[in-house]
Amino acid sequence: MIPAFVLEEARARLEDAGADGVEATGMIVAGPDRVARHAVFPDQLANGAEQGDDDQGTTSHHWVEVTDRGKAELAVALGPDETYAARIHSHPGPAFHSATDDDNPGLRYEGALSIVVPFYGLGLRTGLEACGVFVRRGRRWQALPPGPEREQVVHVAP
Amino acid sequence: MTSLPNERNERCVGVTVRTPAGASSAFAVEPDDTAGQLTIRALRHFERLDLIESGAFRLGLLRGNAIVDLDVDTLLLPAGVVEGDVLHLLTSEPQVDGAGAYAGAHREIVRAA
Repeated sequence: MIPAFVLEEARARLEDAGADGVEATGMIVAGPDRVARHAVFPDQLANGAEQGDDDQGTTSHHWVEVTDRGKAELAVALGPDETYAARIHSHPGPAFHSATDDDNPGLRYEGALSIVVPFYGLGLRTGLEACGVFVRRGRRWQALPPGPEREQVVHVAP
Repeated sequence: MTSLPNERNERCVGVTVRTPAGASSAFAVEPDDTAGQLTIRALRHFERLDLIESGAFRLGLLRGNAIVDLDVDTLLLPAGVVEGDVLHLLTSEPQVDGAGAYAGAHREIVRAA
């Protein structure tokens, strides 16, 4: 379960990066009850658009990399009873899981979630409806389209 | 009193190893264990439990609010690892998200957070 305030916290960070024309990436921390507590945005480097990119960013060169310092920050940020339940990042255009996203080794375990927020974070203004939500199953990211199946896995609480 | 050099290092110590996602498990560290050996043991353990997937990882030692990187050949006990320490598996691969193709070090890089 993800309380809405956690998504709001993430949205603000993603939109801030979007104002600079770059994506951002973070992790959502959950307690042992699997309820999300907050989002962590570690040190990261982002690459923005290039001339010739289309308006949707689908041919873009956008990417964002967690630095070694950021990886250490993620480790330090976890309390003893906490885990990272999801990673969350923005795209300049539509929400989809790119090959780059698939290759990210940052959060890979059975049941892990990956949330892709469209339009530099703006997509979170309406909650997860406009976002891509993916769950790690059988060592692959499986899309969870909006609806009952997604609700069974991830629920946003007011 | 008879001096027993290295006595402290001749016994196992118990440590906790955590995955990048935060899953944790206890491990015994032998006096001649290196960071690389503990990394392999921990990866096998967490992989069996579906708590991590194979890849390139290194170990970091939690010290206060910082992580001290350990080279694979580092002997853990002489390096100061003690009973109750927490070590984190950190991915050695690029940790990248994005709509576009990652091209490594690039021209217009912005510190985003």
